[in-house]
Amino acid sequence: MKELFVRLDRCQGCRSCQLACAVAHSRSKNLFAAISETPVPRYRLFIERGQGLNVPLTCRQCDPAPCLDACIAGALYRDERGVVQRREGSCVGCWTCIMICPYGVVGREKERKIAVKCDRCPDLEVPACVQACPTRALIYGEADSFGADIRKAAAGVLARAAE
Amino acid sequence: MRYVIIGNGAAGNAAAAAIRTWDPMGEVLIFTDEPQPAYYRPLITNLIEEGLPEDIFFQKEPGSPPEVDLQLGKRIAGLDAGLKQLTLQDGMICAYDRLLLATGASAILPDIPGWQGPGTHVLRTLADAQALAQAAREGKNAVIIGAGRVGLKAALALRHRGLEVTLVEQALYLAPVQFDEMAGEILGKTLEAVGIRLIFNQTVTAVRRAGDRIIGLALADGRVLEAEVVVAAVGTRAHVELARKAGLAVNQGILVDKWLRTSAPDIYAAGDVVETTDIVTGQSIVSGLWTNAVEMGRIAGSNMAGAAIEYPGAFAVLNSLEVAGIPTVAMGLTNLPAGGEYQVYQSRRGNNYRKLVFQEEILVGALLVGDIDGAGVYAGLIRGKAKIRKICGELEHPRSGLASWLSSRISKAERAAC
Repeated sequence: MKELFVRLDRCQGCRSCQLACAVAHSRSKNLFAAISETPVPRYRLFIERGQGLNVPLTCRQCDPAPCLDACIAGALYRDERGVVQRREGSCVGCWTCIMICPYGVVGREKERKIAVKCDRCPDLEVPACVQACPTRALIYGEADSFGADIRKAAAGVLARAAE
Repeated sequence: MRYVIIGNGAAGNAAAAAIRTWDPMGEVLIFTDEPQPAYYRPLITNLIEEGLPEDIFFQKEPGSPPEVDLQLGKRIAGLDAGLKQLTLQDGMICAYDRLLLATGASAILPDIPGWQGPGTHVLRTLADAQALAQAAREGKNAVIIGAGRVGLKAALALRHRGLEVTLVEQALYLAPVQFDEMAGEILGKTLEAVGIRLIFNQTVTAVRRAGDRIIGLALADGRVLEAEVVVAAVGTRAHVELARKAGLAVNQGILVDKWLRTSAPDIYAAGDVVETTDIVTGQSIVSGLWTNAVEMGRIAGSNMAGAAIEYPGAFAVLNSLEVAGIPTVAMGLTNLPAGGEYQVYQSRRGNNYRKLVFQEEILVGALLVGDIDGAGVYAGLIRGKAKIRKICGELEHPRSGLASWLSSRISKAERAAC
């Protein structure tokens, strides 16, 4: 299953990812039109600043997922890709998922009284946030290959240091 | 391998799914005394406002495991832990290899004269909710005894149906376990604004009847309230009788170890019937929360099928409730016990209220009214006993606080690596 990885040293805090996420979840799929939609499209990832560092907080699609366990209305389920999705029409707006997500990445849409979370852009090859990131701080790939890349980089550092 | 589960609620079903994941070939049986399939108990108050929603029943997930053998309307008469078999009320005997007791709890009935008879209700099962919905169609005045989570939801639902609603609570403010006085005050004003009458510091002493008909409810101070519909929401009691008669260790709930095993071999327990540990205080508690039941069910089921996952303990308080458009979240220690070293951060602006409770280096409680954005961060920090003393000033905004905490951890890790 492909995961969303974050390279913290590259995040500039520009929030292009958040804009792209909101637009991807709008009806018009266009930034200027999206701003005047009702309900206002919501982004599902959050760039927070902590101790001088920009920290993107994304849905980890946890397994087991605290939100899935906590949903008292059966409105969350895991799809074939392993992504935790909201079932249309079932969410009753109890906010138990918001109360339980340890990353704080489930949102509350007041207009329809439903919870909103990352769906990993099921209609796109690559999630909108990853596509939008100008510094490639967000990576979409398999855990094995991401780990391999880190090991290669580390090996390079060690080899140079040994010379 | 035959796995038998008694109870078709949150814990029972989470356990069945977990067993299937670990042991796809095992036989799984679920016994329930209810006549209908599994449903989302917290949604039953919706029945009072609307009809029976289709999706109150558990749905089949795409790609979900093969069927478990679900036996409806079956009551268990006895359990023989030595012979490893159950005796059903209809005389049938069922042997098991591994057994899960997920028998839940039932609503406590007030022990007051006049309670027996038509017009008095509790709100625990689907059948209870259907009876209350029917009564709401005919009655005009409703009195709810107990302003806890269930009482509040019932009051709002009945008020929505157009009944005159009075809430009688023996404490001094609403939901006294979850809320503090300030939150209780904000929510109390909100309830009064939608026309719900609140009576605090009072108990109901008797149900007055003329024949079968309820003609009034007597309060301790001598007042008599008009009522046709009376709902008692005064707490629940765990169904420990089967376990007790079978010789298992039982207190307020069934006693279990950290793998959710009972005192008898190959018997596990999960959900509202279990006495577990409060993750914040370390005290013994019986949980009664859907979220806790699912987690316990998943862990007990996994362990029955060969895993060795430790259950860390439950939040005694972990509630989200929206009252007349104002969301609220309460978790951990929101009402401080006497003694103990706690530091409290409080902030109030109109109907927005936030309280964070710290003990030494860690967060132990959070109470939010109005703005609940990112509240789960607090749950994660409380559960993980994260040392947040250095960044506690930034926890007013949960995600921002999380970012600060993560940053401080990363710098620590980087320093350790060099």
